Amino acid sequence: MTASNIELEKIIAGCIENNRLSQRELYESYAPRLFVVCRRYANSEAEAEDILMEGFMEVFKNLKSYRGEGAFDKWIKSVMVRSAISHYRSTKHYRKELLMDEMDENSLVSEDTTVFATLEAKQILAQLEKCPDTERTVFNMKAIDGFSFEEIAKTLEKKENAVRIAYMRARNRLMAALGIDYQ
Amino acid sequence: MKEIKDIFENYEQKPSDEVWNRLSARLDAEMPVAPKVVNRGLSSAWKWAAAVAVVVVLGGAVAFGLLYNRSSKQQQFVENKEERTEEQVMTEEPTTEMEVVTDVLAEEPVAPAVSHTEVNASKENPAPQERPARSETDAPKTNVRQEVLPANSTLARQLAADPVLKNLSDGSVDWSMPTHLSIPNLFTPNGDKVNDLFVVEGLEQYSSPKLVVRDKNNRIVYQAENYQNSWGGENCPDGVYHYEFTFFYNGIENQATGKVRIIRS
Repeated sequence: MTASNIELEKIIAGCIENNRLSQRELYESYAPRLFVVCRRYANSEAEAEDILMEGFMEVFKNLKSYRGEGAFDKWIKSVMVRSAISHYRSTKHYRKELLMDEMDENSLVSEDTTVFATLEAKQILAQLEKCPDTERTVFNMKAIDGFSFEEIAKTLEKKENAVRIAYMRARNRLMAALGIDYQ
Repeated sequence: MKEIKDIFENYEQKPSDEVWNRLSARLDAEMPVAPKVVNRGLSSAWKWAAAVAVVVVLGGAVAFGLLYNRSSKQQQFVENKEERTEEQVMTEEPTTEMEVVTDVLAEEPVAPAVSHTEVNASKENPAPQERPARSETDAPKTNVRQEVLPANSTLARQLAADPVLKNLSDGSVDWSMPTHLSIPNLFTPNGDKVNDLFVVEGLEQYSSPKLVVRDKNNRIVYQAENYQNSWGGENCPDGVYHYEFTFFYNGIENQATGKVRIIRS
């Protein structure tokens, strides 16, 4: 983080007092990093900007509830992820439901994401954008933001198996798109 | 081995500047603007300061007023004392031509017990004659001060020179004023012997009472010299009539006018 802890505390205090300058400062120092989070969940940069804005509104509204427990980075990032997920839920009616096809519901799902290690974030983002919303969201939550399948299923109000399958599909799709062979 | 989340760990991308503009617009809309908070704090401080100043100024004014009043009252008291002693000294002198004069104080309010007709009547009275007369009858009620004037004082000389006022104390004129005159505003001439006549209470105290009653079209429907409470509304349908009641007291003409309603059923 660019801001030291003392400066950060000052900025947070200013934000709680609804000081526009402090809010601007907080935004400027965290937006580039959080924008990447948003882009992972969004199907376009425009949507990512919407998510970022909503997320920062939530941050400014709920800063009082941040009591300095844990790192501010993690807190603000989790707020942004929640913002992205709620954005996904709010656009639910635009989507077709995940289809359960011939894939075995009990097939083993590889959670290994080290296969992407050689890639750059830019490439992955470009391919993530092309994924269907549900697959992308599930993949993000599982592979990057550390949710368990159970949590994802609960949050997205889906069956856990459906979530697993969505993850599998996303992973396979990405690997195919990025030219990574199956093991 | 590097995992996918490590790839994104230090990856940054700056969003377009437009995002902040939209965000600040949202903030302006949903959260009150910050600078006002600072101003409000300042302004409330100023308000307090102003309130304190006002209180101080008011308190000072009140205190000053109290002090000033007290000192002026003391002055008045001293002056009154001096006057009194002068008067006492003068009254102690043996003078044969002393006159007892009743004088109504200048600040005397209109006697509170006077009925409306009496006020009407007193309007017609010449003021200087009416004043002492009333003061004799209403002495305890009105703020009357009796003074003994030395004959050679300015006021006594003025009184003696006045053709009306000079006989005030010799008892030749009865200045007593009737205290009771009541003219009804409604009577019911339906033959039940209750309130059948237009009765002016206190009529007997006056000489040659005259009553003229007119209807709405200003036609005279009843007229009586020396009215003796005998009008019963004959040939007058129910309605409102206008009366003029003229009476003499001590040779001075007074008039009371008003409306009276006749109701039979």
